[in-house]
Amino acid sequence: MTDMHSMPYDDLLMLLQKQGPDAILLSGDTLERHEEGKSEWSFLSMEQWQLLPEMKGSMVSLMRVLDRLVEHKGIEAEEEEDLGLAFLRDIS
Amino acid sequence: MSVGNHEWYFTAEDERFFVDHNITVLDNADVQVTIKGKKLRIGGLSTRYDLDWLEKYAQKEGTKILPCHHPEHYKYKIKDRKTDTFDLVLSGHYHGGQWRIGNVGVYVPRIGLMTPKVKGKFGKHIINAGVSNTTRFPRLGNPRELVMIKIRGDTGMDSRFAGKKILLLDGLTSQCLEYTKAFNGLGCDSTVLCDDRFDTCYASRHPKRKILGVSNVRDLKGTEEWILKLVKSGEYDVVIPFTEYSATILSHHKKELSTYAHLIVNDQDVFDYAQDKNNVMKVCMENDLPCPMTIYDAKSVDDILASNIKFPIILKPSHGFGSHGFHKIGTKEELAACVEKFDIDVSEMVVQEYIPQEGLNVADNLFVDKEGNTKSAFTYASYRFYPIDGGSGVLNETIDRKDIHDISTQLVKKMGLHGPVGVDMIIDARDDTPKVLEVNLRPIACAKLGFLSGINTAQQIMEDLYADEVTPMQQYKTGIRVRRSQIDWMWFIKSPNRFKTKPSWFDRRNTVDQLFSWSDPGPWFAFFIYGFRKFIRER
Repeated sequence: MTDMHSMPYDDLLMLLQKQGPDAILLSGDTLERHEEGKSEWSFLSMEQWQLLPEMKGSMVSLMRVLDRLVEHKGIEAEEEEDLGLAFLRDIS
Repeated sequence: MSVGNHEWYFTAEDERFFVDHNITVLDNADVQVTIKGKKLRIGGLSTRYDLDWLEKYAQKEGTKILPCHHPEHYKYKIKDRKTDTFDLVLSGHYHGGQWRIGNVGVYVPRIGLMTPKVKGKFGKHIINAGVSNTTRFPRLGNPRELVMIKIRGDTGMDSRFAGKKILLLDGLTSQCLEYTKAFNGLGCDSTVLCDDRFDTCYASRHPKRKILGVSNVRDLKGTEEWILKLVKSGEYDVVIPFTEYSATILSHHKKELSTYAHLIVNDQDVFDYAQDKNNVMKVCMENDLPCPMTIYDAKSVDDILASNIKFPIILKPSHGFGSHGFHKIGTKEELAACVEKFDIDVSEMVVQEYIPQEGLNVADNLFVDKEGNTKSAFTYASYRFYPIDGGSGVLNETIDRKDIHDISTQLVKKMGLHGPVGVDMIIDARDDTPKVLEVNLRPIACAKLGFLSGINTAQQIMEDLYADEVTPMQQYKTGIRVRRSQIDWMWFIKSPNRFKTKPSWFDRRNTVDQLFSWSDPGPWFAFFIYGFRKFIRER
């Protein structure tokens, strides 16, 4: 599973319990840990890690505008409880 | 857990949490894991990728899985390069394009508009649409997705036994088909001895070779000749029987045939001793293992009457299987009449107390290695039988009862049994005690339950022969049901309890057909035709 983004997960947990897999592989973005100043990384450096300049060149600016329009709700959820950690606790 | 672009860091609390909850974070790191006895290597490529680590990981041996959050990391940094040695690559990030038309995502955050190949399986690369919706806009044509991946043994993960030639006897039986699939999964070369074109395995696509010879209980001489001929050809590394009569033939010729192949059967003296149900009862009673009270040395009706056994009792042949020759006797007078009427030789019979049939019939199925250690065990309960008054189980379900495992483990040890062994028991409803009825010295008919619940006895057989150690498989899934659908239909037609039975006849949860699969439907239809022909013949 991928891109859980610390979102509510009740239906997901039920589905996993029903399927009873032998292993669960989480392929990234399970948690929301991307506030600037809390690590050595910034939005700009992370874009470089994501190969964005290499891929899109002049389209990057337009994409940033679009990205703001579809901003993540995961950070809002984090304010009350870290649902990502709660999910990991419940499946472990 | 691998690391994506929303996970720039983990706090010290996070790290402690991961340790406390057994969560392995693969931040440009790899681990080896064993799942159901299969060794896999899993390495996570982070958004902050480390290509030096990736190169080292790519050079490692074995089956390798690469969780790699960014699909474009695989596309632009790995694919078609020398580091692309992975068997499976798992990505996400695109969220399926949020609004998706076919495989084209309308908008992928930080990637762009109308992006192709945003979700799906592209060769060994799976791009997952993600399990959440994180935007203000709903997903359109793009449901959230949890990907279930079934990793099969025939992907070359376990190559230790590749090319070994296995001869599987009794192609009529359903367990022969399940073992054929399991041996194929280990890379073995399977040959099945069949008796009829409508044998289960003859109609299947799974056996690599099918031999149409003689293999049936009605022609034991012919069956014996075919078995001897095939084993003595020296073409096979391992020979495995699936019926009592084939196991008996192999066991009785074991000394002679062992020079040609490994035979998965007990030595003749052990086999013959355990085949006699009176001996099984004797071992149980002498070692305080629960079983129906049995008069195992009676020679005559007078011997039975002289004992303190309480009626009702049962008489059944000390050799053989099924309900053939089974008599329930209510009184001393009935006993004498029954023995006279059926001309019964009491010394050839098991004489034991009658256990009320309210309790569950259960079977514990073990694999005992050559050192005598029990390496796996799973238990199932049978809920319906056909023929109704004492036939085979038509709906079986895996259950977990430690007391059953303990009894069967002690029994097989006391009797010196090895290989696949089944111990049949009935749970006495009067005191909830499982009581031993008999042992089966071959893989059981409902072998599919074992494979489905996570126990690969075929692998254990091969490890016992060729590896240093047999992988223990003591954990298994409970609640898995296997149903013999055609026979269950017969049960439904004949049984007065058709609407009262538990589980309900209509309950199909966690239920798999014993023979049917969409990828290999032949055995189901062949069994149907075989049964229909038998029905017509008997009428």
